[in-house]
Amino acid sequence: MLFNSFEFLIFFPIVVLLYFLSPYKLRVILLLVASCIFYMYFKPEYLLILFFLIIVDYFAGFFIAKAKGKKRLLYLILSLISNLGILFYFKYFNFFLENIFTILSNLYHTPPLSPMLSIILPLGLSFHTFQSMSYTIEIYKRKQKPEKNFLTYSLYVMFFPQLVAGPIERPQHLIPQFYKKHAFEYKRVTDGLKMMAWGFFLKLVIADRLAVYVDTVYNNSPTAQPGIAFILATLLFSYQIYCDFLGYSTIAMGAAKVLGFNLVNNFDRPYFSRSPAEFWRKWHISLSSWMRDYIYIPLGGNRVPVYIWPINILIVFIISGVWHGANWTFIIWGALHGFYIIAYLLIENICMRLPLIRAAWKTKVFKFFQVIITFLLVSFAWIFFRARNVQESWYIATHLLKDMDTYIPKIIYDSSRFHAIPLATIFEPITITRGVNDLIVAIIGIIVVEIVYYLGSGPDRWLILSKKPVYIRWTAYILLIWSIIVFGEFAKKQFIYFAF
Amino acid sequence: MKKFTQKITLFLIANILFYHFMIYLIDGKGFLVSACNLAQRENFDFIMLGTSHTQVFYNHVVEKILPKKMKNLATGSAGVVPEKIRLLCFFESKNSTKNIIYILDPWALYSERWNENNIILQYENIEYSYTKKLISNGATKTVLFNYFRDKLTSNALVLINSYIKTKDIPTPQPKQPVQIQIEESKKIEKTLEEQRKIDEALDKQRLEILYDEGLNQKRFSKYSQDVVEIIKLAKANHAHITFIIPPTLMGKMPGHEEVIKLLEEYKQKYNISYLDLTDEMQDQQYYWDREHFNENGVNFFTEHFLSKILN
Repeated sequence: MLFNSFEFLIFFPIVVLLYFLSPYKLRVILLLVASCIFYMYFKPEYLLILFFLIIVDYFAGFFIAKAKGKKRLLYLILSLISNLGILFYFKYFNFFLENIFTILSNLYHTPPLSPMLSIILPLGLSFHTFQSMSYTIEIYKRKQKPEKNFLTYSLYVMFFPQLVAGPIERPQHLIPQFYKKHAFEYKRVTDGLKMMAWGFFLKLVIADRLAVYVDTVYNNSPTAQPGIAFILATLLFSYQIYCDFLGYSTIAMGAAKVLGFNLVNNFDRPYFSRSPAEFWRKWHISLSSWMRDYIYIPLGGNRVPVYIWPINILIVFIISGVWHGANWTFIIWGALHGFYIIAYLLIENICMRLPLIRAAWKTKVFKFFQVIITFLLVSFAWIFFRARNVQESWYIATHLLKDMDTYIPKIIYDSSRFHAIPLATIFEPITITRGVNDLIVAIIGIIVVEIVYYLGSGPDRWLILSKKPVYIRWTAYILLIWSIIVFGEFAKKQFIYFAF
Repeated sequence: MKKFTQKITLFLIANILFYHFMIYLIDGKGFLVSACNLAQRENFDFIMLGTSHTQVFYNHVVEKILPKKMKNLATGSAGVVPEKIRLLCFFESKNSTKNIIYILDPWALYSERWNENNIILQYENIEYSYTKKLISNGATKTVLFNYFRDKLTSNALVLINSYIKTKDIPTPQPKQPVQIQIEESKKIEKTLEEQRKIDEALDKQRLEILYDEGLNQKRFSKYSQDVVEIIKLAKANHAHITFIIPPTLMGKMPGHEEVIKLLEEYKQKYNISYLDLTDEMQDQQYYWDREHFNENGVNFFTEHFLSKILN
């Protein structure tokens, strides 16, 4: 079930009502049933995959906890193989075959074979396998005891607000919350609903609106398009994916909050980051911290020889890229971010040795430029994330300035003709399918989002409104609701991260 | 829970008031018209139903040729479902007529786009009786949602505004697209064969839009029933209904035979009349594009066909 669907609009109030009316003992079962219904809306048979993962890791938890010595590691490995095996089969098997056949055909000069399996990727598989794996790993690290109640453990994997696109929770954080008795608290419930409304604004008004313009460029052959179309579409995609994923996370956090649960925060103003490393501390935090704790630190973290550290960084980011999808574009995207981090630290080290730059490093102007440069670097990397294949992404990345010699004079000419900023001319290359007015609505939305996040603090930063007088609050809420209704795109576009 | 219920109720009321206030602002400017308010307690010699192909038969143009009082209920891109609702509104407003001319385009029976999902709802003002009619006529939740929402969107306001401006003025004269096209083609020495190829390509594009679901049989069966309801509505109000398959320069439309077969069946069953004019008026002078009549076309059609049907 999509959050932005009519079905969810019916489903969620019913679940909330039943949840608070039912006795505490039955609430886990109720949430479990609700989660099954939520997931079954996509493809019912894939519920079996979830059950398989749940059963494997539930028992693996006990085996790991009880075993001693090398057996502990053996059980952990068996559990991880089961999880990763499922993930590999559904997500990477065809990609793997395709590459093997390409290599073989190149070696033996035969036409490439393509005996692909007809597999549909279960929604959010990477999310729930990673969440499931964190349970067994935490038990192995003796930071978590195995959960005795099978239903509670099942709910840990299946809790519907974060089932298909995270945040990726840790057992220590989520499981104890299932044992708490959540009464109906006015403030918490209304705060949760406000978060959900804000999430819908991000998704429907900004992300889905921007998608129309981004798709116009990225879903068509790039060779026929000017470079400025790539630049504009890429910059817009930076905000499309941000608002899409932030929107999902905010709706998930809000829905959980209504029910009495706190989910971890997934974003912290990532586009205000001053370096690629800071970006990754603020973007998809639950995945970044997963990668840090379960891959980067076991590889040695930064306590390794200086020549090993870049390799570790690249490994982590390539795995992060692979996690996002079975395509070379994602691998390049991950590797590029790894390269950014290594290069940035190298440059920073050199700069810090120069007194003049070291003094300027902390000035506001310098910080501002750091933010801009980081944003541009991240946006450039999104080209590889969004493009349909490596060839197209490479073409786009290397033709960003194509046809600028006709585009810029046209803008200058129109500016002098209209004595104003010619928005229609500026955005002309990407406004073929939809007019510029709809794009302006989305851009205003982005400005509102950045102002709101800039002014507030903490994960619920936009709840800053709660402290304002009632007439300001209610006006803002009514405008928020109506801006969603009027400017929202209701074509039921799936959240981008559902595919991972 | 009590405080929450009170606040949420208050919030809902505030939103409804806000919505009505916005609608009041828009409605006050005369942006919206309701099919149900087109006429009240009036008697017409005949009324017309149909799509944009029928919309061009403006009252004052036709009434000048035929000394008869007419009301044109046709709307751009309206399939049988919206036309059924408009007819229902017409009769519920205590209007009467003896003759109904329904210029029926075959594509109107094959797609949700021209029926439940029709854009004409943007022009309808918010009336709960109309909402009820929409629901009882099978409007989807998307349609209902858009019916309420579209009034506030900038696109709708632009559309409605242009619709209001053009709805009662004479047939828009073509900007001579075809002539210009031909003249230009002469200038650049395009042959007639090339022009024919351009027309074919345009027709193909147009058909892809008109038949966006192809010849969907499920839709056809469903909308055939709506045609029956229109016939029954006419009969219940003592009006004779005549269906006309209109001519265009695009040749026989997909689904043409099936529609003729259906009308033949209804002729036997419900004593209706129908006329297939597909092959008539095959001259560019009657059209301002490949399918819509210009003033010449409207005049010719009225004099040669409507007058005979109505006499």
